[in-house]
Amino acid sequence: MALQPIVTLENVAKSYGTFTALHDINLEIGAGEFVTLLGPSGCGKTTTLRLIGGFESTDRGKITLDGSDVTQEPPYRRDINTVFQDYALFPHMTVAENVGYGLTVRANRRPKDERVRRVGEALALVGLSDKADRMPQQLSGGQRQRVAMARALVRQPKVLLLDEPLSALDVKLREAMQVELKHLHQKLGITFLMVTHDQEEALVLSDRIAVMKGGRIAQIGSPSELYDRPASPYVADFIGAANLIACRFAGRDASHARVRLADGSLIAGIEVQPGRSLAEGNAALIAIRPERMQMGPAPAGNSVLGATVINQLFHGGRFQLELRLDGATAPAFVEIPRNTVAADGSVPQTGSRIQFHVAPDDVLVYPAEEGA
Amino acid sequence: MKARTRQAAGFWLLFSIPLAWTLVFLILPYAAMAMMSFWSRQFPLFLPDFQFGNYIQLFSDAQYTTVILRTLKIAALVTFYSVALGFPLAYFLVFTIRSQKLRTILYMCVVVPLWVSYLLRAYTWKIILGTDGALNSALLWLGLIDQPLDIFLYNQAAMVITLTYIFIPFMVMPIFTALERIPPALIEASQDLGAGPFETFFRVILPLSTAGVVAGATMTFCLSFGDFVAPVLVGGPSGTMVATVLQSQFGAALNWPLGSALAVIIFTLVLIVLQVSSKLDRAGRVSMG
Repeated sequence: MALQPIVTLENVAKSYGTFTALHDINLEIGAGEFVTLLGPSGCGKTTTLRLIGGFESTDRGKITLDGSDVTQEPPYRRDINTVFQDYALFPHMTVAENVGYGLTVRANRRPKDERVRRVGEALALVGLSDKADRMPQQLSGGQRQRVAMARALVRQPKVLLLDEPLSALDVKLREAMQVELKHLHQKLGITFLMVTHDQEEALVLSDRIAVMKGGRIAQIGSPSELYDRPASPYVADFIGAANLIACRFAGRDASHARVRLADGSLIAGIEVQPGRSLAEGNAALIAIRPERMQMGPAPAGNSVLGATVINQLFHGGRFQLELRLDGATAPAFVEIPRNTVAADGSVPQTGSRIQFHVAPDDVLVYPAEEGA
Repeated sequence: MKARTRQAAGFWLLFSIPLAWTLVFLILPYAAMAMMSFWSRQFPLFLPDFQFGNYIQLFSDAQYTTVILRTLKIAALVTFYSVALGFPLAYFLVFTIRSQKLRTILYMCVVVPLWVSYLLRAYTWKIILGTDGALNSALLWLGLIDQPLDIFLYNQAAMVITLTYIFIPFMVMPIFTALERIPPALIEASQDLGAGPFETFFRVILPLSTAGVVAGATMTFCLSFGDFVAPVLVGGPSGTMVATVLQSQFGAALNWPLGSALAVIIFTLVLIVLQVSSKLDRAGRVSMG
């Protein structure tokens, strides 16, 4: 990585009783990066965040912050601040007192005029200058979220941790806050480390995403890397939508492979990711993004898939079709923009036969035992 | 119209008995007490009157003012020791004990004595502190004394110990509840913002548990202020409290008007305490929303 690492985790492990929350995690976060830990509940993402914040202690391994070992340091001696999931605003303090708290603590007590100025700046940053004297209970969810941001940012930490910061907000507000979060990150240049289970949030905001599964990092990379080249069906399925189709490996030439579906149709020219060992006849799994399945005449080199329409779902600007692909058991989905439906403007009806084609680059193949 | 009549009937059916109860057993006796406090006495008769002689006597006779002040002092001491012991105990239960099960068991240990007769628990201290009691036996066995001492019982210290022991659950319970309601994330947030454990305690935990402390202190103070059993069992002559005097006015001394005046004073003092505590409570209470 080109960036100077600000936080590193080396072989960090953590168990609760017999449950292993983290298996020897290694992670390096560059200064100024926006990194997201993504995964379902119980995957270890929150544990990782809490370990970095100092709220849990590691069983093994080492955590460094800006070059110094902080593994044994309590939270109040780490130059890191956190935006808590439920904001954790102090209910007995005003907004300004909440934001100024980190500047009044004994270890970091600032003169009054500096405090007033910095609290004012932080509140202006999140657009709440007029709410300084309110109590947290008098604010809406979105406003509380901003106060939590201002309180964490007022100390100008090296790293800002965000624990599902937007999960308590409704959809519209969440989208607006995503934009604001991105602006804040660009403006401040502070390293952001966020935990979320919302893949869209992760894709929109992050420079890099670490997808976690069962206490391990399944894959880490830029959003487009994860989307275009997911390392496993799990990642393919978790990031964006993917149609996973069981099939058999049907041989390879040089760097390209063929798979055969249950109905005998062949998809050829698939790029095999390095390190994959697939022998002819092995069970395999292919993943295709719904938007990469196109209707209309197939260009040369593309494979054609036949399917029966099971259902059509209207989403406003687009249609979603539920299909049964020939030679596949699990239902598949495709999305069609409304203006490109069919040449004659009609939507394929339930029960009708349609054909799709996919470019070889858009098909990803995995050994079947890595199942999603 | 009909529905409204039915509603009214239902209302009276539901509330007439509680209202009658309140009237007959609370409001009327208080009124009678307040009225009688202005009566005069010509032994052995009480004469309806309106004069302030009883109050003047209570405030001018050192015998009564001493007892009232002593009672206030003992109630204050009991409250103080209950907070001093009860807060750390509640804190320990909520923040130190990690296992939910163990916490419940220990909490029950604090509360269960309330199920045992109050009289019995007070009497226990008579046994512990008495000349041939457990404390003396222990000291004799340790060789610290060679004669049983009678200094433990029948004094104010014995009363404060006994009352603190009896009423401490009333202090622990509300503080425990208040502490348990503090979201752990608030404590983490305080640490996250650079405050160490002590600072976090004084700036976050303590302010957020004020309501519990006030509730517990009010309860402990009022209960020990009006206590009647401990003075009789372990108090001795130097431990006479206001309830004992009150009882004797209605009993041996047969001076109901004076007793009523004393009761009115006690009543007023307790009302003042409740007023002050509800003010404090409102100042300290913050919704956890």
